[in-house]
Amino acid sequence: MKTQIIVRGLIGALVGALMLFVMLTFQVRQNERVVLTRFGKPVRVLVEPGLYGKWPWPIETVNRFDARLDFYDARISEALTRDKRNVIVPVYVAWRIDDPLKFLQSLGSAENARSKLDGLVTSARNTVLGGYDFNQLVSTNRDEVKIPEIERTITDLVAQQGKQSFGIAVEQVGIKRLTLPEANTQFVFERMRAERAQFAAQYRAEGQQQADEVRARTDADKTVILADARKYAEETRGKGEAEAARIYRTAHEKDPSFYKFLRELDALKQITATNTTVVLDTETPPFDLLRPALKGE
Amino acid sequence: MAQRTPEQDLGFGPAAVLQAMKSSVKLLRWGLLLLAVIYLASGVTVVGPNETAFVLRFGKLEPGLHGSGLLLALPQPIDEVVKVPTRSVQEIQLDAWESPASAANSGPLPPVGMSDTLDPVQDGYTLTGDANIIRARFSVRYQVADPIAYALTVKNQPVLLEAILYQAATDVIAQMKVDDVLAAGLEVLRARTLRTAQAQLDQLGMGVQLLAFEVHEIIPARQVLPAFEDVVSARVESRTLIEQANSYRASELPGAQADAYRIKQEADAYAQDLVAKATGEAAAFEAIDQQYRMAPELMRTRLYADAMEIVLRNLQSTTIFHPSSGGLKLLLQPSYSPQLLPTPQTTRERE
Repeated sequence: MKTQIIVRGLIGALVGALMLFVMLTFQVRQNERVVLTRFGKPVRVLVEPGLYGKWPWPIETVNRFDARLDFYDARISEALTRDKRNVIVPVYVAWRIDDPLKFLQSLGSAENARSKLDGLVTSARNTVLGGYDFNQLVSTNRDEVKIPEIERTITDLVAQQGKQSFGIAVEQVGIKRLTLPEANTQFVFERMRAERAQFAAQYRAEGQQQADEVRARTDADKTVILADARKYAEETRGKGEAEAARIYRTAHEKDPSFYKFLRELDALKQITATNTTVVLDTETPPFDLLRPALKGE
Repeated sequence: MAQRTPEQDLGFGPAAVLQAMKSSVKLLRWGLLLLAVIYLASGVTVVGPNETAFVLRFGKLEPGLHGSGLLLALPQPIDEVVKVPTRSVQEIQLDAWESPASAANSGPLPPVGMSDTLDPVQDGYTLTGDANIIRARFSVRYQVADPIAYALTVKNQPVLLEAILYQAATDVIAQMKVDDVLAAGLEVLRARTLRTAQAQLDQLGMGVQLLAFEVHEIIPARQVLPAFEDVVSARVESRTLIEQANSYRASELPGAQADAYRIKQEADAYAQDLVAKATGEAAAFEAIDQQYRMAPELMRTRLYADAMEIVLRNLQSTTIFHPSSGGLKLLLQPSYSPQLLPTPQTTRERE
């Protein structure tokens, strides 16, 4: 029975200690900032993580803030560049609570912070963009584009105001896209179409030109090849004829009169064909054999 | 449930109730002990194969990271175990520049005129360096490099990561020509975006290592797509024209060369033929000439008579007259053109 009482007492003491522990202490997590308020009046700001003591609930209240970077997408609105071009530049903000006391006093919640940030960012963006030309936002010349610089300038501007007024540290304002007012897109499309049409025409013309060049060159080459061949052929024929003539001459020189006789006979055979009428005198052999008969007539 | 079943069997007598209470107190005691053990062991955590964990003791970071396995931590209000998937590769699809209006691309086109503008809020797009409107779809793969920084620096990591990638892509595309973005410069776009975004992440200390930035689709706005397609087809047409010309060249030149070869061969053959013929005839002439020299008059007569035989056999008519009849005028008339020399005199004399 006695041990039972001791055990019960121990359990009771343990439970009591636990309750006291819960009521009188609180933790600050590694990523948190805490403002301890006593009846609404801030008494301590806790930045370092760890275990802390406090008066129980109705007396002291723990106001916790997540000090991690938070993300906020600013609302879209039009802005004007220095060269009076309308642009819509959606930006996001990466911010965190830096001074929890100031934050608690000026804003109180992350919801309020967002609407305040929106105003800050929008006005800073419009101010900064007014100092840059459109072709410092987009340009084919890499050195001309100043987007990182613009982002930095906006960030600095917003960070300064956020820190002073709201205890917010703005670490990054980033440009998420570059867009134009809806009415302007139509003109951009028209320009793009015209540009493309020009490119298409250029490609077609270039292709035609190159093709024509190749064809012309082919025809020229063909002519040259054939002309070369004909030249060779003429030369070869000439040489052949000359050679043949030389051979004939060498042979015929040995007996020109006999050659003449043979050649004439040959020619005679060639030129007299059927349907030829020949008139001969009786001296012509072999008709001279007929002479006595003719005389007798 | 297990307690109630015997109660119902025993009925509702006071002795039975007492007994039931006694046994339930006993059970309760064991139950409490069990709960206490469970509570004490609740800090023991299994860290998965792809995870790394760290411990916050009373909210304060305990030094040291814990790999996968069993982590012996103290129960809840004392220790908090934060697990971060460091080994698994995570992927985010970046589809904001491809709005529903563009997704309906394949469907029937909305009425003309209505569709010729883009709403900057609804339609996702950005501008290239030469102020062309393009849309795109990306994805990014990343890994947690520093679990403590990853868990404790940023509240909603994927959302910020996404924004930073869009920011980097916007910056990079704003410096490029649309033709580079759409075609040859794609690799440049990927590499530069990855580099820019990684620098930004490092500056914010997010503890994230980007592994790859993929461009799934990058197209001009639907409204000008036909114009861009026309450029592509113009390119194809131009290439086709050049190809055709090249194949014309490829087919014509060998033909010409074959012709040239043939012409040369024919000439060679002709020349050879001539020379061969000349050589043969010369040889024949010399052979006959040898015979001729032995008996010139005889050979002459024979050859002459042979020739005459052939010649006279072929003739249509032969007129023989005596030279002593003298004063003969002879006019020849081609037999098939009487109109050229229609003089009756000739006819008479022929008769």
